Amino acid sequence: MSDQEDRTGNPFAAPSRHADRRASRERLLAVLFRLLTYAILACAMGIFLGVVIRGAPVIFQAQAPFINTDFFTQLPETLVVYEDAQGEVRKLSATRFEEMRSANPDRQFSIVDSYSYSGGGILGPLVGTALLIAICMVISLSVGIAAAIYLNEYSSKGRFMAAVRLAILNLAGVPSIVFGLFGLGLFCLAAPNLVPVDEIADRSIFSFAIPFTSAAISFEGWGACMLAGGCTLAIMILPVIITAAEESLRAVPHGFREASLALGATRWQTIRKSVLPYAFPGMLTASILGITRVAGETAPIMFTAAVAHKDKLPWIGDDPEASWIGRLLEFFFQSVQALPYHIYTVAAKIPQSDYNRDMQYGSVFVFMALVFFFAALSIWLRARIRRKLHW
Amino acid sequence: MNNSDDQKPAIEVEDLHFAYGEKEVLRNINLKIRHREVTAFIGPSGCGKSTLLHAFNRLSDLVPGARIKSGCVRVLGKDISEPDVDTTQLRKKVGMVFQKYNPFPKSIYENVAFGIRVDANRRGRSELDGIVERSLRRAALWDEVKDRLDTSAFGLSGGQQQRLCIARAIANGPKILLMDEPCAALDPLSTLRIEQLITELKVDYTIVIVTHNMNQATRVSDRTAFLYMGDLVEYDETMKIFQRPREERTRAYISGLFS
Ligand SMILES: Nc1ncnc2c1ncn2[C@@H]1O[C@H](COP(=O)(O)OP(=O)(O)OP(=O)(O)O)[C@@H](O)[C@H]1O
Ligand SMILES: [Mg+2]
Repeated sequence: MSDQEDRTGNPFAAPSRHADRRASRERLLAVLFRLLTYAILACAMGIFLGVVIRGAPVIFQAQAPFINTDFFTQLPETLVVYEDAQGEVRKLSATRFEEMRSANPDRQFSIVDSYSYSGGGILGPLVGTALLIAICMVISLSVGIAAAIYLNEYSSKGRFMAAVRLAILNLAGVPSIVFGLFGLGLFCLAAPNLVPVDEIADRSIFSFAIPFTSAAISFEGWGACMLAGGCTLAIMILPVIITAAEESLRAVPHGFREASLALGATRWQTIRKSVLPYAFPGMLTASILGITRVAGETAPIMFTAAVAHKDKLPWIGDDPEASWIGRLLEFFFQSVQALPYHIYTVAAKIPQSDYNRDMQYGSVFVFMALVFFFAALSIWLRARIRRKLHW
Repeated sequence: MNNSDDQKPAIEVEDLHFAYGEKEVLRNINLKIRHREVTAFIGPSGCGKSTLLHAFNRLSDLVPGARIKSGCVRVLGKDISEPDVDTTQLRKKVGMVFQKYNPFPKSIYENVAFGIRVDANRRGRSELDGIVERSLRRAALWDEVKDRLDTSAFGLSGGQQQRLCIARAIANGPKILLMDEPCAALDPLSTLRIEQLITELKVDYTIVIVTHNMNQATRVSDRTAFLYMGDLVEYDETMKIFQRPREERTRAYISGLFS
């Protein structure tokens, strides 16, 4: 469109020079915004491709099961780099290396180097992360949904409630390392624990013996363990769960509650039968998203639950004679490996070389695949629910 | 119900003052609603019709700060203004139908069975089936839905959904039915069906209906109460209210001078 036309056609058209300048400025801005948007995309793609290119070959392989099963069925162990008789440099995880050495006692190897945590697989961290998530979700969902029900269905609006809401909002903004330290202080060092009378730790804040037994309640914490880590993660994710659950409750039409109460249902019956079932899908979606967040957190678990090294899976007990209750306690009160902490270890705490690349990128690749899976699951569920529930 | 009960009014309101927080929205209401009659509440928007209706089954409890300031409401002879009244029992006796039909997102059957299912005394499947069928018949819906009781209530038309809500209320075995603008969201034909239904139901139930439609009030109600800004201006037989109103405000309202 030429300016001439413009002016005759549109009485409000600005003088042409201005119009030109403005148009070019508009165009420039649009280009700038577009470039910035592309930059975000480029960053995401860069990370993603980098991980996939270096991580995928660790996970997938050309021969039949097509997946590197060792990576998922072995615990992390030391990687041995050695030179075989032909002078070729090879690498093997410690157990495999020992197997091979004892199978071929007459062959000559010279060990070049060894890298801790860089061999074997990631079964331990995977299992540990799954258990931490499970504990965290059980605790945060039960507390979070109860709190949301109270806030949305029972509480009346007032100053106190406004303060509670503000607290929840603020809790969401607390850095995760602070949660980690809080969890360390509360669960690992101060929570009440049942211990034999003569084994009360020096750090115990307060303790008393249980009469007629040789046990005592001692406020000395649980040490770094699965339960402490799960609780810490639960507190961290609680604001997210409460907010999401409340939103789901609020989305349930008021008419359902009125109708239910008007039909002689009690308040709790109304919540249980006419509100929760319709809020549940929304809560589910939110909690899956919560899982992806919890799964990746390192700071809250590094003091409270996670260890780099663990030579057995959590359910294998030390003492085969232990009673089931002893086993259960042992299970929850042991430290675990966790995927994000494992990534932190192999990426930052051990000497770097080309030989531990595989473990680094393989772990990150698996982790990203899991997060993608859960995020996609929640998006899919939400879309499905939207289609199914419309009122 | 025996005759001596029938002598007393179904609902009796005495010197009722009702407030939301500090705001008094009903003043000095006195009203007796007789058994097996249809009573219409009319009046401009915001005059307190719904508030009065919700006081009859204590659904007003839902609003924080809503309270009876003074006076009393007796339903079926019992004072229900005390805080310790068993509201679940009250609401089983006093059913309610809302302006926007609000079935649950469940099957037709489960909607009607809801009141029975939340009741303390459990009932067997066959008894429940019987109640559901009777209630649906009573709400003139049985023939339309008998083949699809297990399908979602949301598949019904608006008018059918509203009749389902009436059936749902009936299933509880109430004595009184409160209807807050039951036809406001319906088309003329569905409205007609509901009006017919109201006339049929009046044989067994005491009905209180809020309406903005003057013609509807004359068609279905025996008595009409005109409320204006929280006052009960006039309460009399519907014919009298519409033909010879005593109050100037009533005349002005029903002739459409304001609404
Ligand atoms: N939840 C509430 N909180 C505070 N005030 C309210 C509330 N509900 C109603 N009111 C007030 O009470 C008065 C009566 O309202 P009510 O809903 O009973 O009127 P209504 O006659 O039913 O009106 P409509 O014909 O529009 O339904 C109005 O002034 C309204 O603003
Ligand atoms: Mg109203």
